[in-house]
Amino acid sequence: MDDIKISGLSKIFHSKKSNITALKNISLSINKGEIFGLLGPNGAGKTTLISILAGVTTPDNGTVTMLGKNVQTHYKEIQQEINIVRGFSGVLQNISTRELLKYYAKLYSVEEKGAIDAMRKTGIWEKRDCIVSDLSSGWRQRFFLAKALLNNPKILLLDEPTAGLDVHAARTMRLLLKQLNNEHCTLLLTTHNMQEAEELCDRIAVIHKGEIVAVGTSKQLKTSSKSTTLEGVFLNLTKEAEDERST
Amino acid sequence: MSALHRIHACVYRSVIMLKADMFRMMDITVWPLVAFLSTALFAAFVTTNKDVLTMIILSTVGWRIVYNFQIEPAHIIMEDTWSGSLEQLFVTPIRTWELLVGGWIIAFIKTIIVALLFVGVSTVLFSFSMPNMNILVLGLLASIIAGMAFSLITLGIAILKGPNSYGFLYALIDAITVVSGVYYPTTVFPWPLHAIAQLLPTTHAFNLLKQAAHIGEASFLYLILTSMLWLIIGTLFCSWAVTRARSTGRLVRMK
Repeated sequence: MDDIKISGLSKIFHSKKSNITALKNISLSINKGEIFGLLGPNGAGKTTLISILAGVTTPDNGTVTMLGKNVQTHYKEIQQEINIVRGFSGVLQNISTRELLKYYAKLYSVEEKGAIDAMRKTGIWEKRDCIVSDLSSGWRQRFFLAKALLNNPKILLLDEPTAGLDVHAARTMRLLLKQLNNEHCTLLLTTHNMQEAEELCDRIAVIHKGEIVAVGTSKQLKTSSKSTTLEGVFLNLTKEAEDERST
Repeated sequence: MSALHRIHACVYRSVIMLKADMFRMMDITVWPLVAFLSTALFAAFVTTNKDVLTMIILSTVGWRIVYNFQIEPAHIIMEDTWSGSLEQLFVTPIRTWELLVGGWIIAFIKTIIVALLFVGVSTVLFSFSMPNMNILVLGLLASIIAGMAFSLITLGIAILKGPNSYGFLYALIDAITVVSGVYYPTTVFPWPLHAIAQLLPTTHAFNLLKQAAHIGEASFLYLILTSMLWLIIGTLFCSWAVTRARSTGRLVRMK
């Protein structure tokens, strides 16, 4: 069964100066228990797609079904069952890890024990009394992962979760994500790191200028693109899309 | 039950933020007291009329009530925007009404602290004695409802317009309070402004507080009608603003 089903999704952001087409007729299905990677250059529409799935942005056209419910009409119910980790998110200032997680736990109607479990699982327990805004990027990402695990999500949306992390911190994050997936959590991950996508993802979609230009396993993408690396696939696909547009 | 948890979360958040930065206590204690004392001492200097002094004390409490109730829900949005964590709030299952109720509870707690402070200081410095209690309670309740109605609009603007509007939102309620004739009758204004004042629930709430101090008389009919009108306008506007912000992607991009 599909945990996420997207069909004909479009989004245009209107401003006084110009209209930006963020997503153009996107259709995708993500299976239960899958790690699905979304690759694309900056401004390709990855963040917009994640925001729509997270229920904080509404699409112009198309439908999104998550866990069998329509995101447009049931987004508050869905938000209770999913969660999100962003690569570059801020945190409330001067609050300790434990207190801030306790606050978010209350927002998900989870008891303090749930916050403690999430802290232990992600290893941030040892920083429980530290101020979150003072933590290093790696620890802060662990905080966000702990926050995202508070409600035992069935689906986890990850927007560049290892962006800005050093090699060790990124490695730890990937191990945590794998562990989470082994516990049957479906992961939708955006990244600029090809190695990470290859290592983690069961299937990958390449998005460029709001359109999905390819979907498949890493192996399938390499075969169809006649490339030996995922980076080659990515460069070919985004270049092809660019060339098609210019002709 | 879940709604109660989320409302509690808003209150808990305010408590931990206050604990994290004790200077915030000054917003509840020192600054309101400075404003109160400057007005009350001036009044005591120019008049010995006890009713006038009582009216000024009650009106200052009313002003504080309206201010706290109007700004607190929007304050939650402002703090998250300043921290770059607004999206983290909106990806949770919290509903707009829960956020509002959470903000109002914080406002209520702050108001109790400020009111006790004002009454305590007034009793010592100005020999303040409690006026007509029934009317006073109604006046305070009317001030709370007026603050709630304006908070719906304030929250809507904060979500819709983001940080650029925050300065305006802090000033908005003070401007409304002045037009509502906080320490004086609205008849002092020229006709158009006087007419506008009659459409504001704060005008009639302040009139009730003045009546509690035996100065003037309030219209209950106008109070009920204007309160209902602004609650309806506020609810519609706030609801539209949230829908609009989700449509424009504002909740993700607001920093």
